[in-house]
Amino acid sequence: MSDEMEEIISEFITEAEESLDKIEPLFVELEQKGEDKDMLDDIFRSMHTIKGAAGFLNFQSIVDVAHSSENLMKKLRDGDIPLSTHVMDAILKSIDMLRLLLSNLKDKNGVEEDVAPLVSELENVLIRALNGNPVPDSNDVISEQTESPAESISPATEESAPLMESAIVQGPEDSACTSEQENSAEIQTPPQVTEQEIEELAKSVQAQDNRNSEKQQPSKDLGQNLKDKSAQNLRVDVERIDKVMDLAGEVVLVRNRLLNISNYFDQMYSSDPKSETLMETVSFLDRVTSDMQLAVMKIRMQPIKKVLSKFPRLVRDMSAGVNKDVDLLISGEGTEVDKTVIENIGDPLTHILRNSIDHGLESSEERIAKGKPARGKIEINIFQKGNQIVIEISDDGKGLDLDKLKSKAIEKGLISKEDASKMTNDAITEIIFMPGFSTKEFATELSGRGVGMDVVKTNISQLNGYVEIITEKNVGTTFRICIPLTLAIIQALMVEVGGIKYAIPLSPIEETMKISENDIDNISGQNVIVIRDKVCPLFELNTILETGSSANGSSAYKYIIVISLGDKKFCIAVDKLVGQEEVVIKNLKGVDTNSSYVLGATITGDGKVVFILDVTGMSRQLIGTAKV
Amino acid sequence: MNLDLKMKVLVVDDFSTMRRIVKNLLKQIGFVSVDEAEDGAQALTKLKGGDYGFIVSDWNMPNMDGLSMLKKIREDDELKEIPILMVTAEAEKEKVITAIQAGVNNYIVKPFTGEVLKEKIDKIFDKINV
Repeated sequence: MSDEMEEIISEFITEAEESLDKIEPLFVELEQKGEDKDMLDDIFRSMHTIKGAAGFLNFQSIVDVAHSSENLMKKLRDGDIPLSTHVMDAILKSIDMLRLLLSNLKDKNGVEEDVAPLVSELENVLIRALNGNPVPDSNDVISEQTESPAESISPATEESAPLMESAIVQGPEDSACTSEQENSAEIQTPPQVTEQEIEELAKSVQAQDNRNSEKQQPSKDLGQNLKDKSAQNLRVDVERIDKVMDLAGEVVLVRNRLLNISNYFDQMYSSDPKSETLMETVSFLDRVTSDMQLAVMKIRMQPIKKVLSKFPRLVRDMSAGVNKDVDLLISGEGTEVDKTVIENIGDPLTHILRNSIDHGLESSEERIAKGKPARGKIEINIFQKGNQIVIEISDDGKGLDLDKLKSKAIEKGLISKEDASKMTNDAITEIIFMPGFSTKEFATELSGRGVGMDVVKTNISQLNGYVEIITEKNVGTTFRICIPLTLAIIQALMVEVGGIKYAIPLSPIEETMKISENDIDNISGQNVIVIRDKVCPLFELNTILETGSSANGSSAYKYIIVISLGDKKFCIAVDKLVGQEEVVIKNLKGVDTNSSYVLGATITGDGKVVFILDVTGMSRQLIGTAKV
Repeated sequence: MNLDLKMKVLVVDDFSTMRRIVKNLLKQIGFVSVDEAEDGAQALTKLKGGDYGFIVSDWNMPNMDGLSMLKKIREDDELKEIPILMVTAEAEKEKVITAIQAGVNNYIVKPFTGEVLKEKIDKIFDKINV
């Protein structure tokens, strides 16, 4: 296969997947809002286009599924059949099948799906809908035959050659006759056309169409020609961007070192005019490097819409499963986030949504009894706040039952009775993120894994973010996720403890203070400090990291860093504050970042390797046990 | 027939894979200057003063579909002479007739090969040159 052909195919897969992403939420919207001509037009057009392009590439299964689905959509659009759940289900199944077919193409696994049952089901649904039949049993049939896509993903049999191969191999033996006939329609120069000619023309069109559906023309002679890219957009391999990103990171490191060295020279040879030039040059480099870093970062940014587009469908299916009526409202879907976030935020969001539908929202009867609207509401709101992306998922359900959470956690042996009595409300809400807490095995058909809410926390921590829960009885629960805008380069405060330097991400740091031993109080064994009339737990970095070198109690003063993560606030005492630096996070392989409180490492301006501390992890561990 | 392969051709389709496929086929035929537009509205902007000699357009597009574009072109004194080949998938009788009445020069049914495309183009230009 020529490179050109391969490129076209991969472009087709991406574009077709994007089209499906675009139309899927529209279906759910349609179902809620009733029939909307424009929306139906959009949906129909996308399906139609996928079919057309697939025809050129000779992906027959895609053509078949898209064709049957398009038929249904056409009747819907033209108002010939009503929009029923059965019709909707059937169309959604066809979208699922198209996704499966596309992903097979992408994986080049040569797997062929048997689309015939789905195609005939779509036809059946259409026929019954046309007859005004409520189709009592079609639903069963559909789910029966599409429920097990896993089964149909059996290894390819010998004879089922990969589709792409056949696109090339399939010979031109019948092309001569078809092409001749296809061109049979003669057209007069407009606008004067006689009735008869139109009749003839229309006939030949019909004939041509019939032939077309019988035998697709192979497009073996596609490509090989000039490589030509779309002028406005460029599709670039992510690896290439990541390479640039890596290099930009390295440049940042070199810049930091250079800044360091030039400062030294500036102090040593301040009278030398060259020293000033050096400072100027380096500060220019400093600015340009920051700009470059930002520009490279932007290349990787994509609207979060990509992830959200699957949620309306998801909520529809999930809420139907538990017999609840749920409205989903999404705002801020245009917010751009890093590609890594796009790739990793889907799972945690799905779990939170599922949790809200399963546990958060009450049944309609219960809601009415409470004087709430019968339909539950879930809102997803995304916005950028400073250098963070905030994602809020709120439901208007019953709120977390803190007492129940506590007793369940005690029952499961996750916390002791004594712990429970001392826990703050915030600490209690955190219980639902404890591994082993959630009993329900979540979503096998979506995530494919039996996982609980603890995964939410883990996934988000991996993005250097954190989740917090705001809950009020009978008003609802909000999960707030905060993720730093960029994952690779962060601003950090450099501190020193026991003679070792550490980097602490700057974003959660609220302030730094110098305190004397007298400022520290002790409440039931926990050191605290009062900051502007507020009591704040205090921890020694030495103790947290178990560095062994016990705090040098000799010095009467300590530096503390006030960390604020969501509603949580705590202080970390260190020996020295060194300064602020922009650091490039290098991942450490083989280090358990969960238990060591280490996020990664970086190389500082003076060329030393320094650990970057994970304050989110610390907060989880420390606040969970804090007795304040 | 003497087809002027140097003329500027505009491919109009909202699906970029399709634009690429059609462009490739046109280049195989020998056209050297092939440009593209995402929908009828964008095409009209490009056509104005663009000195295009030929248009291959999809039917179904957002913003402005192929038929509306066709009508606009035929109403425009500057553009009305440009031959247009309409690409259609489900060749419905009424649709093609509407297109003919609106002044399309020929139509072609997806999927098609380079040879078929060439034949259609030749037919269009043979007719014009007669």
